[in-house]
Amino acid sequence: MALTRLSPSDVQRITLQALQVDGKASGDLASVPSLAAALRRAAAFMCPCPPRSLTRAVATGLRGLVPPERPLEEQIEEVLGSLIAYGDVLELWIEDEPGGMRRRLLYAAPPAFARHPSGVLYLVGLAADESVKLPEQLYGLVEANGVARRIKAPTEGAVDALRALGFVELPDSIWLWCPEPETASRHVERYNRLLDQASPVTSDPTLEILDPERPVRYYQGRWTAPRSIHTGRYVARRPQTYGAPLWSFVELEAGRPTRLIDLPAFGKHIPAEVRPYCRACDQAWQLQAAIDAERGEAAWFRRRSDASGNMLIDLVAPPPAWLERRWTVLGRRAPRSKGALVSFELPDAVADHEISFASNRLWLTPAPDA
Amino acid sequence: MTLGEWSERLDEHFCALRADRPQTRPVFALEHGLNAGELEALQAAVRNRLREAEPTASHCLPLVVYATELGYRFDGTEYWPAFERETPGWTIYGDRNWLRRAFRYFAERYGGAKPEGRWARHFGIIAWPITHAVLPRDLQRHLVRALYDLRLILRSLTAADPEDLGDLIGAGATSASNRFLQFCQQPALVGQIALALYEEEDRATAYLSGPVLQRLVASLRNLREGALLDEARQSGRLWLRGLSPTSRRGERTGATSGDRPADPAPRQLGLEVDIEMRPRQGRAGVELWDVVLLLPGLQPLIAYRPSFRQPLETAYLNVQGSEREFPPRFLLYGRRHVVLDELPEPTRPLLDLDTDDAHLRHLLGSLSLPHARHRLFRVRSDGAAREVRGRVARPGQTYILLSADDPPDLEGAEDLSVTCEGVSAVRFSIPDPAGPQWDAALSGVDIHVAANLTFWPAGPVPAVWDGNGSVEWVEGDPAVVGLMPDAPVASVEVSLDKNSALPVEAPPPGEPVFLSLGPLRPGAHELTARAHLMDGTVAEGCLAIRVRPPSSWRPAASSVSPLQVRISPPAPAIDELWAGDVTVEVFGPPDGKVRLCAEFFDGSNQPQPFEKISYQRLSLPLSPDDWHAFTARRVLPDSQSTRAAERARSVMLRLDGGPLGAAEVHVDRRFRPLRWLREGDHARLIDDRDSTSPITVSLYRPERPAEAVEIETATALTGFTPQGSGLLLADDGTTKSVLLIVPTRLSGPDGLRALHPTCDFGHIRPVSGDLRRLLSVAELWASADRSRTGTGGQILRRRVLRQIARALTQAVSSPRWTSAEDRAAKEGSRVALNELADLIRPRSAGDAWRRMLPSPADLSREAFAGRQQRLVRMGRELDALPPPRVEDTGPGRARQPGHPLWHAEFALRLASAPHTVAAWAGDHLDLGLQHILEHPYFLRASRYIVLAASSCQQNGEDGGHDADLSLYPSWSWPSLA
Repeated sequence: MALTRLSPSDVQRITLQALQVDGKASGDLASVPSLAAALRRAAAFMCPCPPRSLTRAVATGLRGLVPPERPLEEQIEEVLGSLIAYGDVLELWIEDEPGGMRRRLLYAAPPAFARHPSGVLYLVGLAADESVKLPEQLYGLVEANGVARRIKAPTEGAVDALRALGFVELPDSIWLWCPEPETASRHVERYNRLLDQASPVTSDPTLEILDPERPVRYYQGRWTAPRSIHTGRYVARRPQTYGAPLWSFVELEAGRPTRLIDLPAFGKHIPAEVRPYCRACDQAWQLQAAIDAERGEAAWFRRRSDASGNMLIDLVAPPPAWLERRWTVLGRRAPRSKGALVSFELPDAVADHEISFASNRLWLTPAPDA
Repeated sequence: MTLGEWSERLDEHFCALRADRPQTRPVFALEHGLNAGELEALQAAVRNRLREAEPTASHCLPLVVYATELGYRFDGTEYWPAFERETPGWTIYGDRNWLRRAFRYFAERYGGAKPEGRWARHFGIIAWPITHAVLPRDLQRHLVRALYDLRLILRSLTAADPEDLGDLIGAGATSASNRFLQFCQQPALVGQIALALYEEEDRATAYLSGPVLQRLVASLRNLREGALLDEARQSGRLWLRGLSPTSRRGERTGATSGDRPADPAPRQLGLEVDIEMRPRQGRAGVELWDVVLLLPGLQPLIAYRPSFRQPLETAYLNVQGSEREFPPRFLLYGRRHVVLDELPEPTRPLLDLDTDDAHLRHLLGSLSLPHARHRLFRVRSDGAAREVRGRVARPGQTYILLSADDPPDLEGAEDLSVTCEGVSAVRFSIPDPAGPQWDAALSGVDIHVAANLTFWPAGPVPAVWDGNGSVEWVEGDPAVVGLMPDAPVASVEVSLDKNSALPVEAPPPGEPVFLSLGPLRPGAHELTARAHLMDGTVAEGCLAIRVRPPSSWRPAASSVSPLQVRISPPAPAIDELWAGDVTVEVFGPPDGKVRLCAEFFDGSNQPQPFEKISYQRLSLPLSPDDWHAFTARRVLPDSQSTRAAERARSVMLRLDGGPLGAAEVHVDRRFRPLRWLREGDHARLIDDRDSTSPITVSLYRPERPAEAVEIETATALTGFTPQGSGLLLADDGTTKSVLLIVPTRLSGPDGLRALHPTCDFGHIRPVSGDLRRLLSVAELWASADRSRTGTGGQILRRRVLRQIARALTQAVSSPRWTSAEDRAAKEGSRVALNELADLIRPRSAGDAWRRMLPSPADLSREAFAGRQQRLVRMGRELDALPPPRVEDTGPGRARQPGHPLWHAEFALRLASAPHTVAAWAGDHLDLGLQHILEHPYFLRASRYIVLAASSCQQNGEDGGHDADLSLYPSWSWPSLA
């Protein structure tokens, strides 16, 4: 046992080696694949836990190693959101005891793989102690694409090897599930019916609401504490003592909640198999998109090409997990452009179809400046 | 070639093999060195000989090779029947004991392998050919998987000793088949095979000859798991290369195998208990704090002593401070959280496993939570608070002080509501910089305020980091720490495990220094730092380090995954599954579902199932009661499933939760040396025993379930068709086999009568002996292999057992009770049940107990525990049980014989599942029976509860009589395993 002093670059190298982002120990510690690998490792040890535990743990390890260009925890939080959307980490309800207190925590999704019709294998999930390491030959083929890990040209026997290791095969119908298209009014109506049936609220929870009156182009700025001017039905969230924030659909009267339903709320339109992938925020974001569209203030998208000719799609509202996962498979999440909340890079050939796909489900309109 | 010539050739071959192989390594008969053509010729010569005459002493080598090749194809269920089928004349000229003598001769002459372990002792003849087959096919996939998992912890072995390696493989095989676990009872053999697979080609012959190794590798590569073989072998090869030449030869440096060192401390095995506080919202929105124990997974204990596996997999666990009792295997997979009802006392063991294994209890006894009257917890950013072991608080942080005594006065401290009894807690924040008053206030409870020097694990996230001074890494992880003074420092010295200090150039304030601790061995370590500040003072910091070996991953077993499945017994058999003796418990999110699917295989090595049945989705969490109710209603009575189970050699149960995960349970057919084979209405007795002791065969008719009619053993061995239904029992004094037969074609009133006979048990007197006799009859009828009885047999079995339950109550009751019971059982109406209730005890004895009488609807909604409590309350009112006593409370007490709840369970079992009573009560059967004879109304009350609770189920939409194959609907008692 020997104590040795290391330089920050030594520690960066050692860390990248330990994380083995894509079978190679190279790259940038603050890159999306590296942060995703660090978060997967943290989740494999720490789950079930709230999101904050994971972001803090990763940020602690990277203290003094990553140049502070952007608040590190913010970057990690963003990557964690993508990891959840991709399916490596699941946000689920947990009951302290049967019928007891419920809270939402993050779990490590078990090792699984999905076979895309193109033949590409997507690796999803993780295991405690990271002990389900792939055989070297297979590991060398793994390539990181944002938070996704994929094998573009799997060798013969790759699927058998994965199965033998205990990886579960996720059919496309589950992993790439997405809601059927419907009108915004029908979508809002479904939640209105649920809220009509909810019992009156007796306590006074600390809420934050998404105010539809505020401009749709600035998502963070739409969050506000309810005040006396707020009467109607809103998407809301409230903090949890130990767990992820709780999302809800709430009826307010002069800023005071009268009825409330917690999200996610599952109806028959969401098959049981895909429910673990349905985050509360995904439902909330889609509902808000419907509310905005109903008000004639639909969220917008912008389609553009970057300097290298890649097709980019900018969104001003957060995409639900089912859309992010789909676009991670077809393309990748790109650095966000000015004025956008998120940006994706998609192959030119599918861009039209994908815009129409998203617009049918999120009621998007082209950007005013497009 | 004649058999004599084959003998000479084989003798020469095995002598040469013996001479080449190190003396300590055995030779196997499978290493015969014959090619396929030669082997075929030898087999033909053996068959020709045995068709006409007995083998002689000079034929033993060809016979040993012949028997071994059959052993290689053994699939865990039958050896001799296959041997007899393939060797005409063996039943006339062959002799099983002769064959054993031949193998013994082989072992003596060539240093051949000798079977070891419990299974080998039990099946003393067939253990020889199976051991000499090296790795029969049904074990191959399990070995590949075990070797693949082993690669993570191989480096913990410092020598290539086959026995140690075999022990390690056995310890890791947590989800393998029962047969593989039996195979692992021969660690030296298992280790020798593994080393042969690991070693370079030229060295491997020290363990196995080249052709056998090639044969084995080719076979392993063909498996689905074969994709993992190369990786497993590569890791093994690297491990061997890292050993010194003597260690690689298996020679330990220092201690020898017979001279193991004393038990390590739990910390050296990477086992340590932590404690945490977690907030939650109480009913009125009040913030409550739970005190949570974080218990380590006990897998390292199995790696240390494989014999610990059995108690850890079967014994219940009590955790001091928690009122709950935890199921077997609770601590087998990773860390578990237990919410404490009170803080554990330091004088009593923290973990109390219900086992007789004194060694394991002793080791567990040394796993404790360090005693402290005041505990310091640092509040993390996620809201939870982890104990600070080093008892050092830092400025700028928020803490909770949990106290068993009065806490000190702390500025701005806020009282917290703690759910754990006997303690109080305050939350406080230490300002930065902290004034001297903080150290003064906290030093009274042995906590110190430190500043200026901060440690943290740098780089990849460690397995555990408490945020303050305690870290846990997995062996092999880079152990790197960051160190940062927050004041100007002149110099820093760092020391690991109190070894010589490393002077570190002083960094400017706010700049970190990174240190690599090098590769750390599993166990506890300590890093200390001493900083000389510019102002002349000295700041000290300390990091408590724990390194543990990596743990292998099992689907749906880890606590980090959303789906966790527990199965008891861990490697179940088909007949146990069909007898309802397998318990599955699935933990998962409350809105999650899993789908159960069963794949039936007719040979252990068949890649495709012959039948695949998908059942309905089950809601999570799935309790053992939910599982029993589901299988009793949807699986066991399902004719497609029953037909498949009758034919199956193994079943793969798959619980699929989609994205939540999936678990597979391998269920195989246990090797039964004496067993019945049923083909339609035809029954045949298979004798796969090693012994030649005589077998008695009897037939019991359902009309007279206690009366045996003798059958000629030869008739049973040839096969016969018993007319009508009945129970066949074959018994040689040590082994029994029971088969229930019901004609395959039943129709009309005769068919109905065959399934619903009226049983005559003779006169049963209200004395212990007669009741015992009736319980033995119940055990006999219940012991039939339910996976082979078919739906008709299940119905008949239930009918007979129900009549036994009725006869037991009848023995201690008046004829009026029996008629009222028959009416209640038939009609299930409120009126009939009321009439029955009136007869529990004469009105003259008072009617206070009547007020306790539950309604059938209430009873049907209640779980076992609720019904048991009700019977206890009724028993007290009926003067059959003593009033509540203090000594009757506490974990595990309810299972103690003589406890009111024990008597209640005894009576409820007697009334609802008499076949389980004797095994459940064990040596205390007479205690229970005597209690019933003294208080017959207690049994009547329990019988009323059984009939009333099941009356709702029978009449409800969920099930007529035949939909639920437990004896009474909603009375599926959990397995006694």
